[in-house]
Amino acid sequence: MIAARSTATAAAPKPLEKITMNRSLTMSALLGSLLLGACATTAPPPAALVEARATVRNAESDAAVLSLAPLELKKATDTLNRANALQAKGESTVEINSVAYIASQQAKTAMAIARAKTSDAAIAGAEVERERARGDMRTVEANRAKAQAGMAQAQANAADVRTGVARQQAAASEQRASNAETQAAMAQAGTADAQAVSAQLQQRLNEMQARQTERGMLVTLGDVLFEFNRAEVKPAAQGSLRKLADFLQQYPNRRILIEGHTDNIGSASANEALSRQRAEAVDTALIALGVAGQRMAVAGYGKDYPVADNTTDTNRALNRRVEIYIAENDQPVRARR
Amino acid sequence: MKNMNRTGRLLPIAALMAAASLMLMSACASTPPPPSAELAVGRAAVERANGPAALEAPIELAAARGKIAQANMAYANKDYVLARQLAEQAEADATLAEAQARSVRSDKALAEVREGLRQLREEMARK
Repeated sequence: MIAARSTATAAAPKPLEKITMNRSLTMSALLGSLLLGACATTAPPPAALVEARATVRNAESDAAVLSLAPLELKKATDTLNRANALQAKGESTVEINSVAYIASQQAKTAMAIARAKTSDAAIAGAEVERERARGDMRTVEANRAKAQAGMAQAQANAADVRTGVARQQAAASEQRASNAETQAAMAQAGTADAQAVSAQLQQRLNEMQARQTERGMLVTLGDVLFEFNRAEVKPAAQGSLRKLADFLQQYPNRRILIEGHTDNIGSASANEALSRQRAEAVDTALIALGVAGQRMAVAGYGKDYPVADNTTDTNRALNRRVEIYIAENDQPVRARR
Repeated sequence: MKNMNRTGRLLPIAALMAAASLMLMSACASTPPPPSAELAVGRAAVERANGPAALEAPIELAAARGKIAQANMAYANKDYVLARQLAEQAEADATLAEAQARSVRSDKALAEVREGLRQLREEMARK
């Protein structure tokens, strides 16, 4: 007992008591670390996590998902990040598997939404094409009726050729289509029908990608178009830009305003410059895709006009965006300030 | 006398170690709060998907419904970790079922419009 108390002197020979105590100390420590180890092992990632990584990567590499289901995709990547963090922290396999499973389901959801929206767009295009084909058919019938009058025949042929061109260009210029249909109307009366379908197409596109605002029609492009803090448009975003260009071609006489916006991270001047550069990058890309440059104006508003408060990652992602306003008439879009 | 002394001194140390081990264990396996919010969210997602997805994505929807039922059971048994996991999974399943149903419907509508167009062109070719 006394010997044990004076063990501070290292030179003193180890008494039996102390050895026993040391052993029991080591045992307890070992037991503790074993119990700790039971929930803190860094094992290889469980199967569900491996699968979730592949599924999310798959969704991310799909241009349609990037442009048509960016928010759904963001949910999936956020959840996958959470699963990865749980694994790094050594959470239980059951918990990691559960979160990873959810990430997979969310990635699949994003892909399904993108697929649905792609079909919706194709439906709108095919419906217009169908109405044009109907118009063509009436033209053909009318032409036949006019065959007796030689002069009228020549006129009808011209209309026919023109309508054929318009049909080939399918979802392209709405303006040109209505020109061709006006020509066809000289031979027969079926234009009112086709115009009603044009209005229907417009409505469909509105529902799908554009929103009516007091400043004009608004199409928002999320920050998936750009790398963090960069102004170059990602190659993967070309698909969605092409869709946007096609959409803009439907309104050849309308003026367009491209606005860049950022979140509140970084200085006001840096954000203003970045937002403007991004708006200009979209402008350049749209010109390359055939949209007339003189129709478009650009503006960079930095962090001044958030659409959500900047308190979470998701909200900040919503704020990093490029907004495209399409004017109601041939006047320029009203600026914000 | 010496023996008694030894045990008397070692016992509290062992008890301390055991207590520490227990604390370490509970540090990563603490009792979670009841996941009533997660259950409500999961139930709402399944109900929302019930109408639109019942026809087009019945398997996914059934999986979601089953998980909500299991989550309710786990909740009743006070297995809150399992209840939360199942409720969260059910929500993801139901949302996927809804999206898949939407995609199937759009595909069908597209096929119909295309078929109409094809018939029209055929008719035109005959004229």
